[in-house]
Amino acid sequence: MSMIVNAELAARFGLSAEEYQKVLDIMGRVPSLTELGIFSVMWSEHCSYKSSRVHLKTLPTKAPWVIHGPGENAGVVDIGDGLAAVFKMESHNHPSFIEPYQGAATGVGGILRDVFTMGARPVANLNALRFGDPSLPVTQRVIDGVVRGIGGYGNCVGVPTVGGEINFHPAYNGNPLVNAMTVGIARQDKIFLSAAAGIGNPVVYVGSKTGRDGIHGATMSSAEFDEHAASKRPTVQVGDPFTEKLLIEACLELMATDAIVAIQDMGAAGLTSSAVEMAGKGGVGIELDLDHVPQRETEMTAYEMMLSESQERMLMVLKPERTEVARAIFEKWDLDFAIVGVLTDTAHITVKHLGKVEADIPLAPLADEAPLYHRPMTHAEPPARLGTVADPAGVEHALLTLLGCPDLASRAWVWNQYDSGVGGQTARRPGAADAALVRVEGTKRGLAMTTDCTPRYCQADPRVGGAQAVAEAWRNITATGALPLAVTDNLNFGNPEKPEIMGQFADAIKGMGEACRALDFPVVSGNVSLYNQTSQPSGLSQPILPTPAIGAIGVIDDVTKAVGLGMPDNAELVLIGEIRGELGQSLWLREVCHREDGAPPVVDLHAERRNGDFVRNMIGAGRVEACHDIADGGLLVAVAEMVMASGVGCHLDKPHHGTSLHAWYFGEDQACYVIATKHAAALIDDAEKAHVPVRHLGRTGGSNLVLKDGMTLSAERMREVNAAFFPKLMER
Amino acid sequence: MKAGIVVFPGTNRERDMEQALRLVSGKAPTMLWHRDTTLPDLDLIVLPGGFSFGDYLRSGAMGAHSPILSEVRAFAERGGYVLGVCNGFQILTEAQLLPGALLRNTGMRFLSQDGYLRVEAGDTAFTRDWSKGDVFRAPLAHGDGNYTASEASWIVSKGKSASRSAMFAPRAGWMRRAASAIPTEASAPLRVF
Repeated sequence: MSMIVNAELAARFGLSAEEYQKVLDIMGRVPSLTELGIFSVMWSEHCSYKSSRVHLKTLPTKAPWVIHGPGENAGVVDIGDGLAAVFKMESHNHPSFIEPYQGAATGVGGILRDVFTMGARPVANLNALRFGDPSLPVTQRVIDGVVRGIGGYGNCVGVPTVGGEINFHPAYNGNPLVNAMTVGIARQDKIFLSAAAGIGNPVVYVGSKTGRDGIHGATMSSAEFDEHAASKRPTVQVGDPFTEKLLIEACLELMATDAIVAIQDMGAAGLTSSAVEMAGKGGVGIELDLDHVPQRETEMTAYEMMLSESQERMLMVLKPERTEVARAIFEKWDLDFAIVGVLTDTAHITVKHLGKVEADIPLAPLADEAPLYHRPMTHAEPPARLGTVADPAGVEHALLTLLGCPDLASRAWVWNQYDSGVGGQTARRPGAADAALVRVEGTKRGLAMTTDCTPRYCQADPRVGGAQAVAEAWRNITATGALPLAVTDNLNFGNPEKPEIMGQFADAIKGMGEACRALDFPVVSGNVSLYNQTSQPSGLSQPILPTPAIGAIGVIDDVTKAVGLGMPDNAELVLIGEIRGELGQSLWLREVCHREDGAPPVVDLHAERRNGDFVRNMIGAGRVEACHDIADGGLLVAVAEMVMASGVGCHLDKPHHGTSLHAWYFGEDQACYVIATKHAAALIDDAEKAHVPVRHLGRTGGSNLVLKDGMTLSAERMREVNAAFFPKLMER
Repeated sequence: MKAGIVVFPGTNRERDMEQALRLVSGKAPTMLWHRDTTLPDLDLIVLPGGFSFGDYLRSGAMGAHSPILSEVRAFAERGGYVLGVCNGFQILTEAQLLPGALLRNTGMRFLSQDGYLRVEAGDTAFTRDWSKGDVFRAPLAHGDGNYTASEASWIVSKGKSASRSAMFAPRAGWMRRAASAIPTEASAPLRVF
């Protein structure tokens, strides 16, 4: 490939003609290859958010408990006792299709660095995964590689993988989604930021050596896929969790001293973005001498070093008198440590290599004049509400079908490959409660965490789907007894240059914003992944379902008071919330009737808030033995999951009058919870006083799920059906 | 009880182990670095779990060559207790302080789940607060947990376990072997020890 800098090369680097013209205007000359490389990655969709920024700005990001919102490496919220939770979710979608193991592994590594960069010890990982049609060999290959990759990295680095979600849909056939979330804990007075300061202070490189891997990775993830995706394999980086583990320990050891002025991990666009962002945020210049960059390969050029996405590297600005303290720590951990530059008063980034200036770019225009697009949008008419649908199969058949279907089947095969207990603070293992629970070391406190999104709702009505994703995350945290605090979002969409996709994006954000405001649930960090779209040889282009994945955390003062799905014998089951029988876009409709239509369930944010606050209060008052929200599959699936989790059966009362049997059992009504309680009378009384819809639902006991109309299913039978899917698919 | 925890680069269970030992003994254990060549006065040395040196060779193979291992060996020969858990146990077999070896799990996948173990000998230092027949839950998480040893070496190490030196580690090893063989939902624990 010819590397003569001109409009054609700029186009190959992903810059439009107008964007290249802007580069020429800023530089006042034709840029060098290294300079063009820097512009193209900094102005890629991945780094500049040029299509999404105008919409992201509408999301609520503040609350009294928010310490740092979007703009830092991760969001930071107050969790009490002078401690803070630091968390973020980030996508690694494109690499995970090209090379599933390394794509997923480096996704985990990247998000871990975003969190410990800020001074937090990572305490939990979660993963929101979307795969294509499970019957396709390519999907099985992707599942196998992604699960091994997440486990391979997380297990080795010693951070428990405690939760997440998995959905399947053919729209992800050529474009699976791997969204990795990390939660860390830091002292509030020991949070590290990325703004560089102090002219003359040394710029230090630590971690792994730089190789030629991942060059232009950020550009790759800013374009659609085609049938030549496999040829992009060299742009995928290779992860080394062992080095990451050393890097965590060395950085946290250094952070306990007072040597660091600023620190930033080298993620997408590597040395370029870390140097540009640190200097840019601090309003200083930066000069790098690439001769000192630790290199894994020989004869690397400045262009290659600046664009490499080699993993497990960090850039820091240190206090000059502390440099040797820092060097000793990194040498103890067998990590490279090199002074590669200095902060200047030039307001430029200057890159030298072998005595020659390879790049000299003014930082302000690189940031301020980055492209910003108000892309054209079209908005699809929301689908009509679903009319009456007859039950073709009966309740028992439908329940067993749902419990065994890919979207609801037990994920134990996946979880059992992840170390969920390392660190010794995991209070509930995956699947035991609606949200994962991790104890805050040395305290009674617990953090509840979850990831949620229902892409089929978002496809039908992005605004409702966006709100529902936020509401479900809030509900899952509430159902454990924890108080929801804040959100990180991972917005996965198709090609933003297509008006219908841009419309989906804007509408989903509108819905998310509405829910976040109604639930006091600010967005403190996030990531946007666009161009999740595959060009077919036929010329058609298949976008993914719009997938605004919501990661969220909450806090509970005493983790031993949290509740999960496991019910005791001889408890009453109570329904909180109102079931109208929302079958539009339900799993029942898809799995039993093979239809994907109708409007998604109504999201009533007032009811959500009222019902959730009531449930959390009841858990806090010790009146709740078990709690599960109603989501995919509806009421009967929720109850069946509680039976399977505990091995304790239950007898359900007669369904509500006026709703057909299947709509009552399988409707996916929002703002609803099933509670097992030994204080049913008092709880129902309190609910009525608080105007919270409440209804006696049944009684636990035995080991069967028994309905009034005669259906009896044993916990064992349901577990068998529920457990079959993954092993059958993956262990043939 | 004065305990020391050996930390290798890549060890990741030292914090859990520290809490556990503090809980049991009421004393903070001493953290030891893999390059240490002298030991403080100790009653117990623990090699905790993790991925020493990334386990990029065989699990535990690199760790077995760390300088501190000669100290651990001498400590054991003097009659000190040594406990190897997970990667620590792998290191002890690689260092040939214990017989046998750990192979890949038979399913060729990492396994993280609870195992249930039954005490078969209640008169060892590790099991003396239990009685024979007691069942307890042990979480497991490993990719190479398939303990394999010849019949002869089993007998040898069983014999040795009457002395103080080799008592902890073989027990831990047998637990792991059994644990990797028990299905998740197993209600009837396998016979171990």
